[in-house]
Amino acid sequence: MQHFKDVHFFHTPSQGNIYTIVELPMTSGSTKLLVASLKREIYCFEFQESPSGSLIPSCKEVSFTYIPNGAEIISMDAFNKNNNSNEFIIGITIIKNSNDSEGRLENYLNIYSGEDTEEFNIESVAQSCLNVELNFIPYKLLHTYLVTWNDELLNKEVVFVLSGSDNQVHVYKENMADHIYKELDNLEYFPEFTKTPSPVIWIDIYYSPDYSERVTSFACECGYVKLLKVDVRSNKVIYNFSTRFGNYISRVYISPENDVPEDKLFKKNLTFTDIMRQRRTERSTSSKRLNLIVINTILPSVIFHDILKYGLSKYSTLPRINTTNISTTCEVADIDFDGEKEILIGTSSEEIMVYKRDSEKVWWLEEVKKMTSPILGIKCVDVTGDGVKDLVILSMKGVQVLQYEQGYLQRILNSKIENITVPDVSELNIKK
Amino acid sequence: MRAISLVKRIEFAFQGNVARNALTLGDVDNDGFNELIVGNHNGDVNIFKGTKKLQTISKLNFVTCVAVADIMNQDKNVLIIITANGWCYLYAYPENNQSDNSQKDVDEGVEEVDGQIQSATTVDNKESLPPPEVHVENSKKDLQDPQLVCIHMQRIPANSKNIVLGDIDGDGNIEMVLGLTDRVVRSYKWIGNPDTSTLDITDSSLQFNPSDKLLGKFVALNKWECANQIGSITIHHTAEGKPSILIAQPGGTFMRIKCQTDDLASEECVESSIHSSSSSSTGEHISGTVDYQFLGMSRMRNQNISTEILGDLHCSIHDSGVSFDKSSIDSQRSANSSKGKPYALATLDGTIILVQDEVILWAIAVDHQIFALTKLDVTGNGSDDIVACSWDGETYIMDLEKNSVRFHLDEAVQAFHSGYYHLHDDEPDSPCLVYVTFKNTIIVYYDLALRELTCRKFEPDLVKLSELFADKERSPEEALEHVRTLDRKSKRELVECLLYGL
Repeated sequence: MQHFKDVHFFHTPSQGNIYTIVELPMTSGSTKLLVASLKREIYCFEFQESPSGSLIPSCKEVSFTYIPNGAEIISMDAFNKNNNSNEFIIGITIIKNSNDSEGRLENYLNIYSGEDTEEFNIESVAQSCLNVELNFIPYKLLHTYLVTWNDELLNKEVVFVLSGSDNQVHVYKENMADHIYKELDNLEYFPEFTKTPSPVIWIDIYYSPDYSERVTSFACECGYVKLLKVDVRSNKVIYNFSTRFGNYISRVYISPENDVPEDKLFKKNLTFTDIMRQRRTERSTSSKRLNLIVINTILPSVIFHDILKYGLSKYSTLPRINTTNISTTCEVADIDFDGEKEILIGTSSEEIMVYKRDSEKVWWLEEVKKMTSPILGIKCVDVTGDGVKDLVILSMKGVQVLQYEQGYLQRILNSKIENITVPDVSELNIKK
Repeated sequence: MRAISLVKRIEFAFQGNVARNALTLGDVDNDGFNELIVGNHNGDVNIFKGTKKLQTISKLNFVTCVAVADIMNQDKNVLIIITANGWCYLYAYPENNQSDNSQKDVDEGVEEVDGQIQSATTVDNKESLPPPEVHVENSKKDLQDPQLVCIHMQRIPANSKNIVLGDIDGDGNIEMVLGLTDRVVRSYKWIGNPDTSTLDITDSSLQFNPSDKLLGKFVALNKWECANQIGSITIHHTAEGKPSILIAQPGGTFMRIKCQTDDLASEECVESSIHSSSSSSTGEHISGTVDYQFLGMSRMRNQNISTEILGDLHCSIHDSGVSFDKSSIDSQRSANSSKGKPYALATLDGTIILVQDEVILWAIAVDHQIFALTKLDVTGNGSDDIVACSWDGETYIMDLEKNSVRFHLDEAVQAFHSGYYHLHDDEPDSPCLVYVTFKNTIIVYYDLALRELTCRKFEPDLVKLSELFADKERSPEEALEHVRTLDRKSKRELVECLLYGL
């Protein structure tokens, strides 16, 4: 992490939580960040490029409609409806003390969607709101595909998934004709979401590349973790594992062993395309291995290896150095470009712990990076739009954006290029 | 504006109110590394070194200025403390080559401190002070750390609020310039006693009293009176290397005093003052020119707003990070040699102005009340950066090309300083920001990891990238041309693919 440098830091007037940072990946390749704080302020952060080429950070407060005075933002999510343009749907859950004498809480899921315009305009998105009243306190909000197979025809629709204080997981789907969002019956589409012993804190859903299978994992307040595989065509649960940790769980994360690079570049006929394609097939075989990372707040976090094969039976723990802090969040990404992913865990003691796997496949604590305030979220996304993933950290005081040092990137890039262009000595020998 | 957060910090507890100039970073123990010296309104001065407190000098009066400099012109830094009631103290470490046992040194040192306590409290007695009682008690103090000892004390006019040390008349010796709250600026020169210039003050047989002026004394050189309250004072050198004193005046204006030494006259003045017992102003012997500068844009503004000034900003053109082509560098360099160094002004209403040869290079307005203006080479590129701090803790770091970064301390600030501070034994002094808060703490942010003030997208080296495209059909030149004409999107995808896909 010493190759990261501080690019920008902005304060949020009130603190957010582990659900309140969302990235908006633009089709241009850059990413905007949407950050909400408890007291209704929502900021849209992006980098603009000045004529001289330097990046100017821009942080605008966006006033979303239908968030009344006194309301508090619980969670937020966003997705792009359109593959080719920026047509974002943003979901925000709020709670509000109602004014009646009983002091009930009013809970809403507000869904904002904009027109499909050339230039993405967050202000206009924030003005058109669809309202869903909830009869439970909202927790984690995320989106996933609702996949239906009509014979051999695949149909994908994006739906919002929301966990609640009623120990259930709710799925909301847009009804195009009526232009409202309606709750779906879980049994019919998401058989894995049954009633849990306590509210669900985090859900992660992973679809196999051909959308025939879905792996879902979720964790509850009481430490109950469930891992299920669902056959999408028949909507039958293939397997179902569960375990219980004795503490609050802050995060579950399903991560393929390797990310498969997108196919974009391979269409072009380049000299090194063959090498790349070869690497890609190597990776896609290993990408079938899924790992599940469970972040325990107080206990050591656990990584379950190859969950498709072993379920929850093969695991290792990530050592902790501090037993008095709380692990709040994690990100799994390749931050040192060696092709292997690292695990970054954020803690309440203002630290990011970087875990790395050694050649013997053992996870070690590689580095501890100090930050300025307790960490609520880590994201590894390309904010600047230069093809390199930046590190975004949501902390209690604000949001920090870290960028790689240019010299370090160039060195990495040079070595990667030399790997391709410089002929392998052993190959030369064969030709003799 | 780009903002940063700083992580590496240490905090010291320090009670009391700290005047804005009662805070400095300097090498007071002459070991090549800087210490932090802070004084408060109760008359306590603390010296911090590394992460620990070295010494507390207490029972002075309201400390308004502290400074570290070779004011005695003996190639040895001493600590200068000015109190509001008009005492000037010099503190130094006793020389190590004494034959006496060091136990005595330390005791004596403590006694000296005690001795001038009385003097400080009995201000009315003019300079006829009761001699300090030397009662040598065998306090078992840790002998490893030598303590600063008061080597000199002298009555000066009261109510000093600014201190600047530097060679103001070009004679190679350091003078002391004091700004007073009654709009007066005075300059002093140290005149060493030729008989006892290397006096062993720790020799207990001498019955040394710091007010005896055994080592020498400060002689007043000049007195100037400003039209308005003094914001801050700085020393600036013209392109020819002539020093001048810049005194910030309200409304973004300043007064400039050029001191030209008339050698003979100053000699005379020194001669006469050695023999005269009074330290009154003999400045008439030194001819100085005074002019007021109203920078063009300052007329529009509030004429009463207090102003800070900072001179002698060092800049190196070729390290500025922006790639000029060669001719423009040369032209800039030649232009620069004929031009003076830039200097900066900041006003309480939040305007920061960079000026060169009385021409405003740029000005920016911020919405925080700036009260402190310092310089520090934060990026380590050889050019000074301007570091300005506001009362509410907003700190601006700016280079001379107007690139800026801000840092927010979540607390109100009563005194601010930037400079180099020594923390790790095997490393050189690290650039740091020092804040004195209203909550009885001093916060030092060290190892400012700022390599550049701007940030930009990653731009891959095109020549290296073109190696990918050079093959049998394409020559390296064509490949380079191909890479150069790649649109942004495909270049980004290429970089992404190379970094993450291989």
